Amino acid sequence: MRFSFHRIDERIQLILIATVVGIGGGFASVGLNRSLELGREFLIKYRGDWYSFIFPAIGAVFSVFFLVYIARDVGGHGVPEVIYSVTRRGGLLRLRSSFSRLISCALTIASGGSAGPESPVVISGASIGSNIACLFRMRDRQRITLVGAGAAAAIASIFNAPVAGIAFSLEAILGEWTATNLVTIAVASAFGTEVCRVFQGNQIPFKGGPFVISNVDFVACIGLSIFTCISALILMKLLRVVRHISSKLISSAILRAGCGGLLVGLIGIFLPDVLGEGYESIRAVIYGHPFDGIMMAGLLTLGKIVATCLTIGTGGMGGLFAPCLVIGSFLGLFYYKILLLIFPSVNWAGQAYFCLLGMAGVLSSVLQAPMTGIFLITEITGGYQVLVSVLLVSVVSVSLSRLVEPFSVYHQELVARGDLLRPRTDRRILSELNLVELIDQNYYPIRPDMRLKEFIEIVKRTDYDFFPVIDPKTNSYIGVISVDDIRAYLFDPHLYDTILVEELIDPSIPIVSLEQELSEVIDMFDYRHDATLPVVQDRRFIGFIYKSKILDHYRKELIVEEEI
Amino acid sequence: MKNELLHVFRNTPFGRETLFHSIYFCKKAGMELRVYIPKFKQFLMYFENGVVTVDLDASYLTDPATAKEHAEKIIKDAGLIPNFIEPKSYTASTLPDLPVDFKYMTCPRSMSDISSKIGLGYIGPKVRNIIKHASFPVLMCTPVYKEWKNITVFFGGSNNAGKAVRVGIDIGKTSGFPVLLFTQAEGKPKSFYEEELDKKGLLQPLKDMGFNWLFFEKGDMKINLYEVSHDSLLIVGAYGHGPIKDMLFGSKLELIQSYLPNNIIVVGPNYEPSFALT
Amino acid sequence: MELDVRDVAKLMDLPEITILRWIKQGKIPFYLKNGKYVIDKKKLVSWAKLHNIKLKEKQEKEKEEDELITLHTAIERGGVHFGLKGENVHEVLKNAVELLNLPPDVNKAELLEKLIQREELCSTGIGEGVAIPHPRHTIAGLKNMVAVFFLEKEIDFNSVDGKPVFVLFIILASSTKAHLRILSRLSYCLRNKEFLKFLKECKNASELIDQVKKLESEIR
Repeated sequence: MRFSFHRIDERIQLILIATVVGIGGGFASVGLNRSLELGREFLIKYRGDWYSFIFPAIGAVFSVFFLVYIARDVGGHGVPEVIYSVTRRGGLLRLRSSFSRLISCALTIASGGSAGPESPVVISGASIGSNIACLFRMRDRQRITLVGAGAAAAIASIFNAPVAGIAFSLEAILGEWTATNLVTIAVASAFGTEVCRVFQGNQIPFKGGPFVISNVDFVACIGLSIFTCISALILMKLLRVVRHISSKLISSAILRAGCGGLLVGLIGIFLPDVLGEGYESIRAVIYGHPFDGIMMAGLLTLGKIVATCLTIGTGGMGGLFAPCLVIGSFLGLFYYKILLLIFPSVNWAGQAYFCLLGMAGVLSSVLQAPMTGIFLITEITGGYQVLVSVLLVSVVSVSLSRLVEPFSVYHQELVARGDLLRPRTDRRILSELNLVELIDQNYYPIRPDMRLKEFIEIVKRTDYDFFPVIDPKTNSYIGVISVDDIRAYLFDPHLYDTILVEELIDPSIPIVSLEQELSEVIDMFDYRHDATLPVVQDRRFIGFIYKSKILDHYRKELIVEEEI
Repeated sequence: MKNELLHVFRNTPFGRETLFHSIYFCKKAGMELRVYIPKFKQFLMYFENGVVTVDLDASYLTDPATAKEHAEKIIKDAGLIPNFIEPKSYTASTLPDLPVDFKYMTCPRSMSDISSKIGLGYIGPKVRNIIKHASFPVLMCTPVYKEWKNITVFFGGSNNAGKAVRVGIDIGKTSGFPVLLFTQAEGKPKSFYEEELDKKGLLQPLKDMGFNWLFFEKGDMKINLYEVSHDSLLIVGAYGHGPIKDMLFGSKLELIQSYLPNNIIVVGPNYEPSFALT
Repeated sequence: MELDVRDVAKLMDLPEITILRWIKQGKIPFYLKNGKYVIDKKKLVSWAKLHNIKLKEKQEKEKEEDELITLHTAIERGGVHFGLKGENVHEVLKNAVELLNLPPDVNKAELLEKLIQREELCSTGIGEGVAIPHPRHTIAGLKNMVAVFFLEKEIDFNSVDGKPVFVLFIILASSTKAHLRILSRLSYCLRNKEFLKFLKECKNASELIDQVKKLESEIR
């Protein structure tokens, strides 16, 4: 027997493909990292020069130019696109997405734009996963898992943080933790991390500690989580405002990004630490760089928020991960300085400690993904010592921010469009069921000029309750008659010859078209208390939809969805 | 289930000719015309195993203010009812998703405004991509409107060619136009092709329609192609038996599309005739 | 605003017992007040929105006139006319339409045409000398009414039972629903032998309306 890949057990297939996807995702992020380093090395010579404030603007212009005219892709950091594809399109993503945003993002960040490389890497990884899945002719469900695997590998590899990659993919992208998902994604994540380690060594990006954590520190965490929550909310709000205003003021995408870049460059003259993805600044804070006073720390936090909104909100390419971490670290510093001022006698756990917690809090709140925040911080700082405090800050901060902003930055756009359909929810199932599957094509068409007598004869002979009235000449749909409608005349034989079928049609019965989504059809049923609706496409009658049949179908769909 | 043809309207005189073609095809093949008037430079089509991004050039967005009006007038003058597609979902705010459950789609040979590229022998990369993924056959029409009066199906025995024959029978039945089969035998007797047709259950329907068979055992296919009438609608499978199935289509299709200036329906590898209920 | 379980059940179109179970299982936001379950309306609305549940905002809307119209009011509106002239169906209908008291925006020519169209399709003579002409398809601007015309002399209406027609009930309705309602009530009356006898000797409009009223009161 010939060897066939498709004969292997599905789970093994997925694991095998996941290794490929993981390596692909790993290479995507290594590639981006390398190009960012190159760009930085090239520009560092000019950093001090007077004209350097214009770099972010030039970078932003090139970045948008590349994206729109060369890669012919659309703006935005791409994570909503990945989630949309996972929820509505069976994980199909375009091939060009696997590189377009990477290059565009490299241009934005290397030139000093305040954004992170993670979101572009996520869509690259996801697109690699999707396209490899297509290559192997995987079906929707498996493809979706592989999209998640690609995203996980990308995050895992860019941060050298395998567990954070898994958590991010499950929490933000897929939205469900199932056994198959977990295994596939873990494999990809492991391979992605390994690729990164081969090329860049196994280094922990922001090594902090060791810490001496006392009970006071633990209590102080709660205060910090309020700060992180507030700054996360400001960031999200400001981002929306900037996006809204800039798109109203300037219509040309290139010009808009250029203006944003210019403003960022101007901020950069006074606060150079807000430029770029900002990992250097995080290191500085963790290694105990003093910075000048409380005001400076507060200013840096605000400056980074504004710079990030100006970069991303005007169309610069990049994600929010890294800026969140930077904002968090500045915020931690700020909070630490306040603590020192108010309680000078307490022996606090140190600047690095609060910096880590700040990062975890802000990241978790913005992404609404506490697990991602917790694992990422513990992994990138190697500080399992702080796990308990990180846990507390993340969870409190997320819960608080959820009161104001119920959805994460990635989900807001999709929620507004009604496209956020989490697995196993009612809307998801309704969106997956196709209207065509529910149509009953058994019917007996009747002519409009038929007399009641003939119609009653037909009712006697058939066991239908509903009859479509169809024009015999044009074959087009006129209306529906139900047996209920004629009840009043059944016992009036002397009307049998004078009532025409067309006089019995209730014109208020709405028609369903094949283009409607099932959820709309259900709304129609609910609104009118009808139990049957006619489906008409291009004036031609196609069949009936029965409310009772939907429930039957729905339940079967739910059963098939179950994973055992 | 939906007897619809998708037409992407280009608001230029060239696009007008293409719309005439679509209208003629709809009337003859009993299809409903669905027109999409692009508002963005791109749109997506999510097929079963891959997503196709269609990049439109600027000519598709010419003067959007009059586009709908123009299309409406042409369609109404032809006695059809204008029926436009409004995309319901968007992948990104400027990236609409078009539905894909159509029976046919009309494309020019190239979706580009570079006029030198509308000649013979050239099929643009986007059109190729659509054909490769589409679950429907694609109608590529001549630059200038020309009515077709008969149907020629190219049959080389392959599975895809079988699908093409089925499309030909369908259109032949609704339009009432005669159906011809064109076969360039490759060392095999006629009985082999007859058997292939019979296996696919196509021989009887063809006989019922009284079809003609242009069967060439000898000679160069290029020269034999002259026998195809000038007002014939060609139906060709995208791939035959050839091994290379990626960038290029089958060698027969490439030969036909660079020699015959007729209207061509290309039946892609993902087209499933049984998929469409009636 | 505070809602109790019954209100919520009504809003959600579910039995109270379901709401009580949800409260027990903690699926719906609630609090206790004087030992009773109370649900805050604002919270319920946002909860329902989050779960994509539609609340029935208004109570059952009141039935429209079309669903309540009675035959005798329709006849009062349309009027009873005696001694309508005409030799054949066409003439009779033409004269009748001219006498009709219609809202000004109704096109009488169109109405006549549609009445004749309907007769050509299939006679509305339902037997026992009665015909119920009505337009094919409803016409915009019509009010629900039934105009009764007693003919000067009986004419052949091509009725089902072949008997000549002496009275017309012209039914004009604003919707199919109203038309069918009027028709079924009229048919109920015409099934009554006494009423048919009365019709043949009827000379007075108010007597006719009283008779119809009496018969209609028997219908649910």
